[in-house]
Amino acid sequence: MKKRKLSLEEKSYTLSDKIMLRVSTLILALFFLAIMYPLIYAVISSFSKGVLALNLIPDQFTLEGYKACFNYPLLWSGFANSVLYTGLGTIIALIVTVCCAYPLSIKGLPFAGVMLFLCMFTMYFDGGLIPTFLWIKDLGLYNTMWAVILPSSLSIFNMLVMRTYFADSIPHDLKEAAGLDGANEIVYLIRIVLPLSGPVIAVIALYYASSLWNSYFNAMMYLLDLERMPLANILRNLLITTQNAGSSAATDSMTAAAMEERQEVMKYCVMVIATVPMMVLYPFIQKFFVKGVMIGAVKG
Amino acid sequence: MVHSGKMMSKRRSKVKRLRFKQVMRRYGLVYLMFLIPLTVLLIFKYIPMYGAQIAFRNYKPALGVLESEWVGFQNFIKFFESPYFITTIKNTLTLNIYSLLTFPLGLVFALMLRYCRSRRFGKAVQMVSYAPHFISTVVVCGLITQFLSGRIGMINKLIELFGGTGANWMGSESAFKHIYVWSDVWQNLGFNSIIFISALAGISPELHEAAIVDGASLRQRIVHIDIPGVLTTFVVLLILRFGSLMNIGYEKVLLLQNDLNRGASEIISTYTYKIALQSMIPQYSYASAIGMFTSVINMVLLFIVNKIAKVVGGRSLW
Repeated sequence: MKKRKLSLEEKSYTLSDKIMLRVSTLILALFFLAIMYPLIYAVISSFSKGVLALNLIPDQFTLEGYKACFNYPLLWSGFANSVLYTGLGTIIALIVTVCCAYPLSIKGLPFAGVMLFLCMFTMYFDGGLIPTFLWIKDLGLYNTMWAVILPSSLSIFNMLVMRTYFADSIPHDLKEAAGLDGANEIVYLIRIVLPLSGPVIAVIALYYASSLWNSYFNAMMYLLDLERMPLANILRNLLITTQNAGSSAATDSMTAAAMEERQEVMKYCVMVIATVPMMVLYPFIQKFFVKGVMIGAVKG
Repeated sequence: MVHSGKMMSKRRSKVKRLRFKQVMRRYGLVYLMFLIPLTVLLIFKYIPMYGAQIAFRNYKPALGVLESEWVGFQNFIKFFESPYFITTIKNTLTLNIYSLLTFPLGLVFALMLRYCRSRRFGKAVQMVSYAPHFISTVVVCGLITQFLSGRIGMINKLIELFGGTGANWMGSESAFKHIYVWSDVWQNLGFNSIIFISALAGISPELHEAAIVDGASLRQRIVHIDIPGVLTTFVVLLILRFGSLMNIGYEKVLLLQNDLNRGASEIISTYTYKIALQSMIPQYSYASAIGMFTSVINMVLLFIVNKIAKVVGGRSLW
């Protein structure tokens, strides 16, 4: 049945349709390459002795770059800080988001309109960078990890996605049944709604985790000590500002050119180290992206 | 008459009180739960909004927000008269409008995947295209500066391979907007297309079947079924984009900025960041005024575009 339908669809293509499809396949293939090539180039570079040629074949396979990285103590503390901020931050953000999304998903909750307005308003208007900065300083959060974790613990966008999922994807009969059994709202949320919301929780957790892991701006503004900096900021210092952080790993006998090459390789190593955790996580979760989770954002 | 009216209102208030009690018994825990996100919003969103009044004051950290001297619009006028006014606004709008032009690519990409003949190839492209979104901006900018670097960069090697001559791309003002926008397309195209992919999947297959039976070509189906089907999603996202036309994240621009390309890369947000948090004498009030100015312009744009969308297409945010 399905095969016949397909062939009917294929038959309906005109010549120009077929050309269009060929061209589109070609473009997709090129786009695929344009994404993969730089990433593969960076990974192979990190294992190479010198700067890599275009053909992706390293002149010599070596772990020197990674060794140099592991001798750089700030990288260790940065990695540990990132794990801590991302882990704790994601858990806090999930709790806050559920506590916001669930009440707003209840049909007929009195004052829900006001509550939603209070959330939406902050999407379009905010106090701005400087007033927020001064206030967080006044609160005494400056140079603590809470200044990095707490301000981003509620993304209204993520909350709306979750709310739509709660409202549309949990069968309504369950609530009546739970009510008859004497379950209150919290019991219903914990025992029934959350276990049924695996996909949306996984996706939202990934969004929070990746933004915490990848952002450097809050840490740059609110943290002072290098030992508290997450990996992204250490990386920024290494990559962008031209200070020779890598030179601590280089021996005196090296020539300037060799040292520069070593530094180039080390940069690629750090980029790979910073990227791997999210690259390992997201393939498990990406299958939920399209399945009804994202559409909630626009319906919001 | 008066008497009975009094009776009525008495009874109504009794009913109301009863209902309030019932509501609290039923939803009390829910409201309690909502206090958590409400506190977060109050502390990190609403109180800073109150603090934004320092834009109208001459803020002195020792005096605090309320004690600092009120100066009216002086800080705003200072910005309008500053030489940075024109450059930063021009650079901000250039980058934003340029990247707005690439916005329909997300829909094009979604359509390409939808009609891709090989399922497996389509899935592979889709999966890979999301990946760069989960790479840190710092890493992406690191890759950009590495690849575009003058002597050892991959791009210059590629150009020389095809007989051209390389250039110092990161130090060029004219190249900055292309670097910024197209690296953004590279990083986010796949992820931005998710919403269109799921909107396309939501279109009833019967429409397509009927069109095929009627002999419609693929191009006709795209124009008459798919595009009208995702138009609402498209317009809502577009309106939201207009609402942040004066905003660009600091993160990426700050990372790509250097002394050579500053003429094209100094945008409003990096300028405010610099005068308030990087300079020796922080000008908090001046920076807040600039921030407020852009917020207001954004709000006005959002309202105007929303109104236009409502009048022209009957679609709007609210």
